[in-house]
Amino acid sequence: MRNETASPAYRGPAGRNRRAKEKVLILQKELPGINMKFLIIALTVLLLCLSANTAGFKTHKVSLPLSFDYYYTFDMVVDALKQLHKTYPKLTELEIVGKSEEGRAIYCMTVNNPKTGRELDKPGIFVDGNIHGNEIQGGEVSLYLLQTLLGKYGVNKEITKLVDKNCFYIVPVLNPDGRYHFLEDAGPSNNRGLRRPHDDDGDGLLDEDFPEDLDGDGNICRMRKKDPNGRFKTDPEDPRLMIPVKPGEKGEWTRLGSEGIDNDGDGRINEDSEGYVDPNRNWGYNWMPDYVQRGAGDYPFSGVGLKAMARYIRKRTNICLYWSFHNTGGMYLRGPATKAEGEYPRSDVEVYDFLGEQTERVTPGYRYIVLWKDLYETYGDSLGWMVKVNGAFGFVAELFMSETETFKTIKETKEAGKPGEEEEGHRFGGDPASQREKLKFNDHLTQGELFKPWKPFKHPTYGNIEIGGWTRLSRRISHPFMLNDLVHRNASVVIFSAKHTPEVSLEIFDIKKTGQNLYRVRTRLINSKAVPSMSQQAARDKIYPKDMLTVSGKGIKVAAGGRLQDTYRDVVSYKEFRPEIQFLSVPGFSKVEHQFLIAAAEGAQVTIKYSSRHAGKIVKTIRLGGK
Amino acid sequence: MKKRYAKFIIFALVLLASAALVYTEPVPFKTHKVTVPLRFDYYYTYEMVVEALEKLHKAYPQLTELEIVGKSEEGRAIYCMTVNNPKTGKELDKPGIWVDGNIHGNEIQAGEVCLYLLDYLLGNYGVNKKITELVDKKCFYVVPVINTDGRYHFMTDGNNMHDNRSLRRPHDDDEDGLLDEDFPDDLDGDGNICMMRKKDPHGHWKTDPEDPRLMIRVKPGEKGEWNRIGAEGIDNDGDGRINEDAQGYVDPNRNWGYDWMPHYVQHGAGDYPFSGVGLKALGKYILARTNITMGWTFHNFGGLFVRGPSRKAWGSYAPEDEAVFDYLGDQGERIIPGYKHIISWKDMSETYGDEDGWMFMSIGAYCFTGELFMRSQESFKSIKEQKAAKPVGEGGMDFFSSNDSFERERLKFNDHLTQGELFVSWKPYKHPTYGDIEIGGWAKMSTRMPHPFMLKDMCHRNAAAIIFSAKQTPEVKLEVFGIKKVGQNLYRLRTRLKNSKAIPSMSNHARKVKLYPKDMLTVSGKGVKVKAGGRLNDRYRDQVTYKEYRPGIQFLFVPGFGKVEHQFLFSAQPGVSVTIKYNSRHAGKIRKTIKLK
Repeated sequence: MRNETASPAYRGPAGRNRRAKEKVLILQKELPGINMKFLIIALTVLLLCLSANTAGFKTHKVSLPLSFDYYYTFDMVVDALKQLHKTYPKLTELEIVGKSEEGRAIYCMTVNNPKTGRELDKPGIFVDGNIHGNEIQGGEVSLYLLQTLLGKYGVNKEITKLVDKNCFYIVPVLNPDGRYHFLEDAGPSNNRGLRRPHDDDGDGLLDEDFPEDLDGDGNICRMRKKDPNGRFKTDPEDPRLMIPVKPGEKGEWTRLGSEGIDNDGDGRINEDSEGYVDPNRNWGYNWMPDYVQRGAGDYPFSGVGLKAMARYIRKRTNICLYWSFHNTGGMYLRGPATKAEGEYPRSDVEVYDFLGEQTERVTPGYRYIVLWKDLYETYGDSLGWMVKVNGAFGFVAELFMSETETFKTIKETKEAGKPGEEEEGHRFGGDPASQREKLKFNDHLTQGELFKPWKPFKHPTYGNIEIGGWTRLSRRISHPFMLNDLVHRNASVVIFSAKHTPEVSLEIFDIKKTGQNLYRVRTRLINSKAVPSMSQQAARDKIYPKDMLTVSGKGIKVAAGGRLQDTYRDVVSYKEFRPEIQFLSVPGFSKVEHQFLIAAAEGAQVTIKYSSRHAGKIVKTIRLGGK
Repeated sequence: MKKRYAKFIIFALVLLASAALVYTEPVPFKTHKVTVPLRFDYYYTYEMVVEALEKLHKAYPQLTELEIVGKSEEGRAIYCMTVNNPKTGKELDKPGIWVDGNIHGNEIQAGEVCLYLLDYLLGNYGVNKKITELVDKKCFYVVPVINTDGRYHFMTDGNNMHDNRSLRRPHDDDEDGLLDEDFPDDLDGDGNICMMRKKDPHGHWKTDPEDPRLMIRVKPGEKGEWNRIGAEGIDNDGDGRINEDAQGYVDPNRNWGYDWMPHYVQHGAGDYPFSGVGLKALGKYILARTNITMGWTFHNFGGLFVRGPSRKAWGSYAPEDEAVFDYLGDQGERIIPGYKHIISWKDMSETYGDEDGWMFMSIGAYCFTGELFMRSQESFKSIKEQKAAKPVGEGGMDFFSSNDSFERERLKFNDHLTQGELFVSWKPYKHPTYGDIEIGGWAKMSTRMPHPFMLKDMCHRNAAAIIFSAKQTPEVKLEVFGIKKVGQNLYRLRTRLKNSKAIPSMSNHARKVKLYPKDMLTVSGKGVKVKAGGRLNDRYRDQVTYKEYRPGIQFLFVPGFGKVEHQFLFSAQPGVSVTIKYNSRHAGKIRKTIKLK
């Protein structure tokens, strides 16, 4: 409800601009002291915002096979999904999971071959991207994965096998509003969170002071002002950079923060942009309120789209593997997300380590690490919920390494030591040396596309300033020339792990008549892949029923049944009640054996059924006695 | 004898039938449609390269010219696309950058680098400031495919990765009076010439216990398992030998007109320099473009920027020229981390009659051979493991050398990053000579070229290396200063020519051997008579080296990041206009006129 009342003003940049314009007009009335100059500047800014909307992305036409030479706007993602669905109607379903705060559809594409079985009878792999609106390349990884699975089906043997055996659920853009605004607005703001209005500055107005793209170049850059008392001076090595002055040294520049004006005339600039609800801090495991976990909404699954997404996932009980694509850092993270949760059970860790170590080889440079220990702690992230509540094995991929924007020879890289082993802050490119290097990368590998040179601007509050700096698409996102490599390797990582969803086969052996109308039957369930049919944690916490092995048949009675501990010494742990149903799980690269004693007439038909949420179903029938 | 012959005919018919079957299937490359902006997630067949050039020309008619330089042995056109903005000047008045690729028919990705460069220059013209400036100031000559027959046959025929390197000039390798009559054959019709092997307890090879697709050598005394019997093929001419007379070997990169040697010294040399109709046409074409200052010729593989000297006997290049190569090469190593800037004879091998040698020694252009693709890109090691291991292909000529553990690693790359596209699994086959054999091994599109998912990155970085060097072609400015009346109708005038880029207006080598005329600086005007003129060595102490004859014309060059100053003394009436002209093959033309007070 709260959302509905707020929504009329949030129909995208046009709506927001209209609001801002009204705001300015009101200010004009209320405060005649604010002169016409301010008004004119503000209106110019608005016009520029509108005219800069053609951000260059839209010049590309989406066609199959999809190209990964550019980034897709939200509309282009939808276009791509629709074209994929149209081209591969038998293998895909395209559903709208739900809608975002601003009414944009969240699409999920299911890749399943109905000829080889129903969705829920196959191991499910859930992949999402772009849950943070600004972390766009997760969307491209998802699209590339779809293109590979579908385009290579029937062409490449491995992919054909993979698609026939598994079911993929792929949500390229979980935060469609975020992606939309990030790519299509001239600015502003980072668009990481959901579009749930919030009064950051406590003035009774919602989201009324966004940053502005003052020079209309499609980027919110930085503002600076000449100031002998400033704390920065021009970098003598690269005049586009500023470095801090030494103690006692004369300053040259004051940094004024992000491009913007004081929209609401409260003396502060850019202090109330879109309300911050982080879609990855609102899932239903270990959720904590805003004062513990920044970005938490009012309750778990705050956000209409998020809630719909969770419902959708809950119904897909076959999901045994989860990948969530974020940026940045070049990492494959596993949980736990907080230290207090304690380490995962050992056999689960073994599975993670097996998959994780291979992923480090598929994408050299990426590191397989533990979330709470090696990065930071988070409450209520999607990973925790997928693993702890849904029983999937889950990874968060942090795409993009800033080391790929190096301008060092291989020798210099080696001498400089360890890419990817510095402190967290360095991956975001903080120190002047790495900034200088990044500028050279900008000059020689992108012909200046990543950095806007400083240009003079007349600011209504600060007067003569300069605007410039790194562009919106420069940080956290690889330049399009590196995109194909990034999406391919990360799709390969998903494919590698998907090949390791459980593949259980059932063998029936050692059928023996042990008495008058009494038969012994042994079964062996073998899992040839790394992921178990149920995680140790899911089994321990009883989050859903275990796999079932049942023996049935007309006129038969299972007298005893249980787990066969030692085939040679005939050691069996018999189950006390209802021995015809056994509960179990099949670990990765492993087997479990059972023994049943069945009272039946000679020639009776016995059906043995294996049914698992994550490893599918098997039915076998045997005939007792005779030869 | 008769019986054997009949068997052979039947087999040939079967082969033809299976070949027919294969060719009715669409060649996978051709399923892609060429559109502008060009895509770089697949390789272009020769026809697609031509289509791409035609579409680029159509999309950018004002900036491009598309010419047929000549035709190949089999009549395929060799195209050159010129990128020049006529509004900013004539071609020959701007520094020329020569870029070619695919001189070796199998080294195809060089063609994609050239197409990428064209697409990038043209697509960013008017969009990106730096590219617009570059295109306005320079002239690019780009030949994506020199060896058009080679590319055609490499892509279309069943092949291995090393085939179709050379020109299609027939040669009787086995001296039986027949030309090129025993090629390898794509027996299983999968588009690849792979390897053949046969079960044999006396063989020298056994199955690798770590990866059954590989074979490793047996230890002394150990029982063998396999015999390797070479590349896929049959004895087409019935002479008892297999695959011994494929297309005659004339290497287009051993036939240029500098330090050429016959084939018994340099394998691949033809009958004389510029053997090959296409090559000759190309030589003429380049010679007519006297503005070519910078050259790039793209090959595979190794991840190298190679420059001359091509042979030790040439001695070192002059320090001034070395400095230019080093500057460009060192930056190139940063633009493409992993690539190494090396010297041809010293760090790789000696060659006679190669292109970059001719470009530098005979044309006077600074030229690099780009060896695309690094094997280390097909690694399956984490960054930590990479650091611990000795890098593959480091140093000297071991770019091709491999070992068992690297082959295993490559197979994992093949499995997990290409889903098996690079390696053809061993399959049984009935061979007319060997009987039951197996065919399998690395596919044609493996080993020397990146998988398409890495193609774009490679093209972009190499194009960026070219662009970097193109930005460093000479940019000379003329300043006229110090005009002074020194006597009755006698004036002094000083000029300063300043080059803001790394490449000099003429290489040291070109000057030393007087390859072509130096830059000229002339002073003229109505009633103007230059009495003295020469190089100004020190303007504070007024030291000038005067030229003895015709002082109104000075010969000079402008070094990289350097300047030259001249002084002229001339008689003239006040109010007369004096014209100062600078004219350089590589640095363009400048003309300034001043009026005497």
